Amino acid sequence: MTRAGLPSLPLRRGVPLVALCLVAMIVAIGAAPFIGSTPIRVARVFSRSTPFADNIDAQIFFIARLPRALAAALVGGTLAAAGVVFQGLLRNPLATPYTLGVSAGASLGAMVVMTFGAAWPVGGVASASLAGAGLAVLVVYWLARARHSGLSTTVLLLAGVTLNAFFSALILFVQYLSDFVQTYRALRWLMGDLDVASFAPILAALPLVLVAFIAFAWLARPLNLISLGADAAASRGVDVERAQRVAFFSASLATGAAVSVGGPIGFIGIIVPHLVRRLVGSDHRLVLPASTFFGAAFLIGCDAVARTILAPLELPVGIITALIGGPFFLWLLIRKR
Amino acid sequence: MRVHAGGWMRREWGLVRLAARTVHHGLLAAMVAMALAIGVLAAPPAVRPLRPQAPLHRIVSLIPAVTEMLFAMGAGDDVVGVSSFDHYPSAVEARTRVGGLIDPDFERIISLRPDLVVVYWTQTDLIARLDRAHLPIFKYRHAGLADVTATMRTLGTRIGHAREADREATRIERELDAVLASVAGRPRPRTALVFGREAGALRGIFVSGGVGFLHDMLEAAGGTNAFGDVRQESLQASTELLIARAPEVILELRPNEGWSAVRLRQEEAVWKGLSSLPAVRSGRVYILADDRLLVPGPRVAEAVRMMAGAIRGTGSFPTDPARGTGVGKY
Amino acid sequence: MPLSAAHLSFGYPPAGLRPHEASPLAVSGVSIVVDHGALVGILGPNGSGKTTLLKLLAGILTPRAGTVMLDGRNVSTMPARERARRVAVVPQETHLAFDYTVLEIALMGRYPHLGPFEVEGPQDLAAAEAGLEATGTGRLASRMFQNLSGGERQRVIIAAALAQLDEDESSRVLFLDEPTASLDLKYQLEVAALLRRLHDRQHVTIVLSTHDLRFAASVCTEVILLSAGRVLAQGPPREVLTPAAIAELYEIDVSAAPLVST
Repeated sequence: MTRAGLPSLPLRRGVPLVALCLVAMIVAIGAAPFIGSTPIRVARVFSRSTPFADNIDAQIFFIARLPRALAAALVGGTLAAAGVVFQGLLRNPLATPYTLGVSAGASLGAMVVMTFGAAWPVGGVASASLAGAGLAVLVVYWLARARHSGLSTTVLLLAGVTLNAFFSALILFVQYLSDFVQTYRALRWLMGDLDVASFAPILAALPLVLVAFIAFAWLARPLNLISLGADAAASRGVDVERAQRVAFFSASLATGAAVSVGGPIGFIGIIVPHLVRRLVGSDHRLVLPASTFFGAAFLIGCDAVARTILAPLELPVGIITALIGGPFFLWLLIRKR
Repeated sequence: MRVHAGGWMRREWGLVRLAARTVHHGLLAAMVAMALAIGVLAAPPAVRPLRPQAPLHRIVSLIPAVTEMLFAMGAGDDVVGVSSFDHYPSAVEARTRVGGLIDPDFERIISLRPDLVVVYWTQTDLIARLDRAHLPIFKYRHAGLADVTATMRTLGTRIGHAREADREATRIERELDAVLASVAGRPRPRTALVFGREAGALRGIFVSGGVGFLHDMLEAAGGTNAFGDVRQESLQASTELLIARAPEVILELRPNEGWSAVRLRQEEAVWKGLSSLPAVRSGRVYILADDRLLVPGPRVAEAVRMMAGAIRGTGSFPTDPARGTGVGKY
Repeated sequence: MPLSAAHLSFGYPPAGLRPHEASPLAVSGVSIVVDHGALVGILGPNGSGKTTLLKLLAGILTPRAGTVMLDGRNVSTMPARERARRVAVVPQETHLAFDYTVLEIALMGRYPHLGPFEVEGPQDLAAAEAGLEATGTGRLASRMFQNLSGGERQRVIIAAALAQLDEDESSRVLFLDEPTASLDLKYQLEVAALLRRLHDRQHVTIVLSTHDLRFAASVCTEVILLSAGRVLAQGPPREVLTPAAIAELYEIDVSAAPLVST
């Protein structure tokens, strides 16, 4: 019941747009396996007459491309949502999932295993990068708490920047110790690689991502209020420190999971939230789901470009996101604020 | 509109970091492009006919392959400096280390008072400094299989060991001919030559393209390069590409890391993850862990023989018990 | 029911390298009583502890000594949501990290009335709209907050604060921290008129802090003079704002006629 002249609930009006993003994601997942550098025929993919072992078209579709599309959806959606949460936590629309050092930790873990490989017991590069991410999260949190009880976002930011610098130095050191092929492979990993080749890496990352998304759902409204200011949120009954803690840990671990699957793919966590906010406004209850779906579709699209533009060679997907990201920021800077 | 100073500064700092990250990503992209370009350019190494010179006695070599060549042509005692990655023959362990491709130690090189320094042709900084110090340089370029013997002859002439160099080169050529003869007339299976892969997973798989030393070795060993149409020395093979090319044999080359036979079998079994590949289904996945495979030097013929044995599927080719070469058949 | 404070003392926890030193008290020995429906101004120079006292009264800070009681209940031990429904704070300036519409901001005031996953309903929308109407910003409902003038923004935040407070509770208090400090004269007058309106017509209890003599004198029904964390005087402006009191408060020489006309 509204009085004449005043609009209805803004939340309800944003729902169709979120639904649109969901549709985009589903279409992307469905269409991506049909696109690629090797031409395949749809009829052959689904034909039962040829045994799977001899059906190259079906193999490409189900073994190479379908897991890859799902991995892109997982990584893209997670990085976009984590970006939204970090921006809300740090109250800055320029924050990214990598601002607080998670990706530096993940990269260090991956690189250590790639160079000194045989020593790492289980799971290979993916588990090592997740361990590295976890280490980075703990160090940043400990640093942020050391100054005073309570979680100041300024100190958090400084701790993250410090960790980024320090871990980057360690990464360079590890690269120095590795031979030429290892260095080249490490560089390629840093540019992002969604060629998972099976569903296993996706399933391994899924539990952590699901837990994080439950936390994101709870965080949506507190983040709205925190964007008015920490004091303002507290005076409205928000437990600000708890919300900040939940936001930090859930978004960091989600980012670590995403990076362990596809490497540190850049710009998703900042381009997607920006575009989505222009579409649906800034209410996190709309921005979070819309960013997740749109981020998934966006990364699937970038990956499709990456693997077809120089066929049969594949460009790392991080290059495509960077090529889009750079001009995007130029545009952000130039347009009227 | 009032601007809150703190918030503005945070945004500025955020922007700077963003710019730095963009530049960082852009630099990585540029490096990839450069690496690809270097692979694609196919200019032949410049070989100028040289007048035989007086024997040189203080040679520094930054390239392991060249060090092996020098020892093979009898100039081992004249080698005073070797790279950080040299390990063969065992005499090199006693020589002074002077760095490698990325980190050559200029000071140490000149402290050895060399009369010849063998460098990679891409080490332009080092070459410029050596020129300024008036030190003689031999520029080495990593190229195809045939260039191994050509380089040996050129180098031999340069250092005054022309006769021994020619003898060695001829021996190598004869051994290679023997291998070629042994594979002539046999079926040439479609082969993927893998030289880099994430341990324990089927990701980050690098294969040899249709250009370069590895490709030449594969062809000499009796295989048809499944990626021979790609005019590059190396490429990262995606899952899709591997499935599409359907190799009948998978040959993985690794340096000798002291892995046991069991470990090698475990690593070969990782390929079961792509069980639809013909090579995996017929059990023709081989990991060869031997330093001879990755060094385009005097032992290439042995390397090619090893590969030919794997392709043929006999599994019987010379191993060096002291170095513990492991070979497994999946 | 009154808001009362007894023997309040507070000092900020020391930061930096010497955590064991006791910090100087920002507020010490303050006892005040605010009657229902009053419009009280805490007046003092910068650094006198006005904002700290305001935060103590609103329950945002926990006092080192003394208690703050609202309706006979201790404000700092009340559950956060319940306190938020009775006490709303309007800060001096509001800086948004992201841009929201005016209606969204008013609706955010309804946070303490909703469960963790509950969505706003018609009742919440009505409360938000009522708040906007009361502050004269109803027509701005779909405008973006960043595009508003300073005065309009302040009034929207006040609207959100009104939406936050329970309608039926008589023990609801609206706190404003330096409500006119960053506004032009025109907007100062707007806000002053709004506060008087809220006081006269809707009987909202208002406590504000300010260093502006004129504003306090013209708007407040009661004034508390605060200097270096201690109360100098409390009472109606006519009685309290004597030249001697002002001279002592601001440490200046005063030779002026009384500022207040009744």
